[in-house]
Amino acid sequence: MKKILLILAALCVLAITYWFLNTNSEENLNDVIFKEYIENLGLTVPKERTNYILIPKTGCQGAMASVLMELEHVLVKTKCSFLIISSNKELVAEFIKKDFKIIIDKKQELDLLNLPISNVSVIETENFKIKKIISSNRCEEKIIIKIITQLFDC
Amino acid sequence: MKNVEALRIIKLSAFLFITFFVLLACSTSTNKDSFTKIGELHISLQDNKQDIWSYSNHIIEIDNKEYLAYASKKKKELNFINIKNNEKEYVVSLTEATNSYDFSYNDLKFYVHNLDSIFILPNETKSMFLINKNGNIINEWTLNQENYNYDFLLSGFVSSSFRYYKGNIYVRFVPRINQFKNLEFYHTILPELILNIKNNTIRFGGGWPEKYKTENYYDSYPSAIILSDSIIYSFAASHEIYVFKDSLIEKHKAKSNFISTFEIFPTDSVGNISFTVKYLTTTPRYGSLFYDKFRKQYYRTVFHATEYENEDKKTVKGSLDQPWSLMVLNKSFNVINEIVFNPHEYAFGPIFITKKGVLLPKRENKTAISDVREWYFDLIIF
Repeated sequence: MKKILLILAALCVLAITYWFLNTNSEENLNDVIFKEYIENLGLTVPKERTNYILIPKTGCQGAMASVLMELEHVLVKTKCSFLIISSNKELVAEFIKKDFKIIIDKKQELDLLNLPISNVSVIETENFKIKKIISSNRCEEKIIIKIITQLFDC
Repeated sequence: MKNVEALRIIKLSAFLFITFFVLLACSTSTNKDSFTKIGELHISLQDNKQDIWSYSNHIIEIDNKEYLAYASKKKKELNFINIKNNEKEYVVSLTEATNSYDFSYNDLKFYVHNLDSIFILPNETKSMFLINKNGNIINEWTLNQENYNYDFLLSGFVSSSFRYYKGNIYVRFVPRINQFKNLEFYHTILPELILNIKNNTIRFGGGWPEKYKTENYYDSYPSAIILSDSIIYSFAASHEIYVFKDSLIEKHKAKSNFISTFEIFPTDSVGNISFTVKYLTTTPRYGSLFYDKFRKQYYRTVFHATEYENEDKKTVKGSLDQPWSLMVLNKSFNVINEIVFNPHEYAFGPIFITKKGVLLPKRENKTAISDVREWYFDLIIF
């Protein structure tokens, strides 16, 4: 009986360790992917809280256009630190008219990152790491706008 | 004992032999023994990508010279680029066309019958018109929605049929019905509208594979070509080439070596953009069909099943990264050959048929993607 309990306890410890390692490796991989991408653009992820607004080429173009128009009003008022990165030069040129700093990803590598981002997305970083990834894979601009604008309440 | 040894050697040899051929079949290198490269061509459309509405999906012959035409949104003109020297040799004004119709929300698609007869389609609307070489509107057609039980639009999607042949305009007819919720109804509606421009009568043609009424393969815009007065299709999820002529349907088996089964698109993933992108990038399916009138054969693109994540786990495949091959079919649609291409070397499109051979686009290098619409082609004979 003692032996069985010991074996069960050992299995539990192994399972918890495995889960912990896997969760952490997935988070670490997202950090690695994003940091490398940012560095390839000649930038670094800072310590301070920063919101990266990502506008890929692929996505629901109509929904993305609506989100960008709404986002522009939010970004003008926010005190949060943000940066816009886009592989969709045409969409940005058409729907963002304010003079924000925008990095254009000319190699369109943004669309090929193994990150859970679709349509207009936001990655929030703090202390050099990803804190949150906000993205919606649905073509519903109201949902996207709602979740993104919450991030800019600094 | 000797017999046992001999048997072991035979088994080992057989295993190595089979392994060798399996590895060969799995290779993603371009098998360059199956075609001859006879030249290279660079075509530049002289306008930035965002300033172009559309370009022709085939090479246009004028006075024995070959041209690629494109509609410039910026300059409001149709430009004809000589593919031999990259010079713009003809220009047709689109001023009158763009003054008569609002193109703010619709791309301008076109079909060149000859320089003096160019059909214009404001994409995804209900109108078409004909202009001459001076850009004057000669004729105009607008379909009345009241004649139908549902709303619809006319599509000039790149793989669609939009062309003129012997007094008829062929154009893709798209009912504005949620096809995913109404699979059966949607796929009973014939996809090609045929407008007789002499008497302004309309009929419908083409069709769909029967299984599309119950199974969704995300194939709303199958590749169609008009030849004589037949409409010939390559459907994404069918091994067969369908030929529709009046009420007759012929099916010709043209199966790829690289597709055995097709994957249904699950209904609960409709509207999920990331799933859709992954599905279209990784599932096995057939692509465009081309007719080579010079060598009297067909070409059919094939996309092979692949993993979405790359080996580095940090990146995923884009649409141009999917492994692919090109089937060569004779006039009767029998498979002559199937050539595998390395997707990092050659893109699957646009492919153009010229007098001398087939133009196959090379992948751009990744230092930067050009702002100008241009391609570097290899000229190939199969």
